[in-house]
Amino acid sequence: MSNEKTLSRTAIQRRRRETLMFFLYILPALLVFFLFKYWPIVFSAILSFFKWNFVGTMKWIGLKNYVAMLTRESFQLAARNTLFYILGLFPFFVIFPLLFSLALTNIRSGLAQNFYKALLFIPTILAFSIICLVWMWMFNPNFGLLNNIIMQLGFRRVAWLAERNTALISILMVTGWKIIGSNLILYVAGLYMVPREYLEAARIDGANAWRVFWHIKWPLLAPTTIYILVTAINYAAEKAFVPINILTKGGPADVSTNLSHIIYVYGFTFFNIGLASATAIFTSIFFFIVTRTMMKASGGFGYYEN
Amino acid sequence: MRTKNYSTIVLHVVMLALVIINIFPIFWMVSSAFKFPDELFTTDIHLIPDRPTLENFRIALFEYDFIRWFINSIITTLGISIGQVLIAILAAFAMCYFKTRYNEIIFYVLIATMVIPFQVTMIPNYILMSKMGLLNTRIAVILPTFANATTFFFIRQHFRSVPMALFEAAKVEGANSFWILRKVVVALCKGSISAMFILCVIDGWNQYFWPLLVLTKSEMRTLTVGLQQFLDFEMGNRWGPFMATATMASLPIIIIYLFIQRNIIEAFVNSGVKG
Repeated sequence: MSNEKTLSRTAIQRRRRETLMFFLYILPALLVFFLFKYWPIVFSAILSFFKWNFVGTMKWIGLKNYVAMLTRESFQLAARNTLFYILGLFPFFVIFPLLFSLALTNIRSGLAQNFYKALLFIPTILAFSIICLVWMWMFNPNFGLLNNIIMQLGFRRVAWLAERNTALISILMVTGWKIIGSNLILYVAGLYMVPREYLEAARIDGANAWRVFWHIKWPLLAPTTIYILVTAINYAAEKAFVPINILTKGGPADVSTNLSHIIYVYGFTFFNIGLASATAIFTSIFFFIVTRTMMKASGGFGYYEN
Repeated sequence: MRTKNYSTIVLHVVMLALVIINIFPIFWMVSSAFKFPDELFTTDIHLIPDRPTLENFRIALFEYDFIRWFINSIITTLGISIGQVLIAILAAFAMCYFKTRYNEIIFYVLIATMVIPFQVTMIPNYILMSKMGLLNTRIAVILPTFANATTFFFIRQHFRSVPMALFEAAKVEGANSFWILRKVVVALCKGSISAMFILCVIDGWNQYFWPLLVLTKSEMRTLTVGLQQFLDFEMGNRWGPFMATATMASLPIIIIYLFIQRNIIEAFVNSGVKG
């Protein structure tokens, strides 16, 4: 009896020790995650109810920032453009990479496949900001390569970044160009995972290439596609900041801005911290809902299995 | 047989066309870096400079803060990568080695931060850095990036594949946990840890938005932020020196890529989210 008691006591002690050690190792992570991820959400939410310009005193104004946000034309444009970017990026994120990955996996030689993959991945590893500046030079209205080509073909020059329609399209082009290679490689990795027996069986049954794609490959690529769609939204709402800020500064007259860029403008150009925070909170809620829905649909692509 | 050859040729043509489109801006960057102004500011198309020059590189190196930016980039990149990977290793080890009733909840707390967009953290983090007097320091660039759920998740996935039996045996023998972490777990997962480290290096080197906010003094800037200096309107756009700087700024990443291109692609596919 007493033997059992001492045993359980040492068991409790060991468990306590284990918990203590667990927290000791996890502490640095918990600290930085709370300081730089969780506290900022709380602080942003608080700031969104105040009028403040980084200096001066903070003044409680309730929901006025949210009302101001919804009625501002620049916010409406940013929200609409974010949706436009999501739709516009879809071909670059899903359709082209998918088609090219099918082409690539149909090339027999493994050496050639690796050669193409190695080259197509280069835009992914280079700084997006540097790439955008290089494109800015190619978009240059007077001496840029694009206009030089257009003029040699006998057309008139285009003010790519200064005109309403072409500004949006230019940003789509650069962002799409940057992402095609990496998504292609994700799809190729997905296609390698398709079991050979399935394809063999389909071939024996006499299924044509389209049926093989539609009934075997495409369903098996679903996790990749959903992951790519989540990143597309991430790009449209957040990462497109880089091309927007470099190429057009959101212009002309805010027509090419997106949510992350307009938050930056509210915060660091107008110093309207309340408005910027309200927009940031709106963006995160939007982001959270969309990402969660997609993750649920995909079964969490492995993040939630334990 | 003939149709097979024919379709292979078509596939190669398609892929080559994509590669050319994909690589062209980078080629154009390098080619422009060696051009004199008269070949840059022209409506003719010069794919390769007629009279290559190093003048742009001279201007970039000696008339701008290139060397300081380069050093700043190296220091911040190393700081970011080492910090991120170390914190992730400790946390991932805690998750896999100790079994407590907090494991699951803390795992979700860390992973959930993946969906927190940068914009919602940027203003509070900026205020925090400014309150700590860290604006225009390298620490301000480095610190907030330590909270990276992707790095943690990737390393934890690999630690999980280390057989638990190894741990149990060592635990009974009374080996201390830090020794096991270093001698067993890290030793076994060396490959994946270094792959993640490289991804962090690429990510850190290419950071733009956050350094743009916290680094306003020219001499503190990193390369990606400093490059904007060439485009100041008052000075006129200096595209030649810019292209030279952009080429030199991309070179370290390209060199790393040349050597371990396969590992980088593999790690990218496994971690997914970086880049």
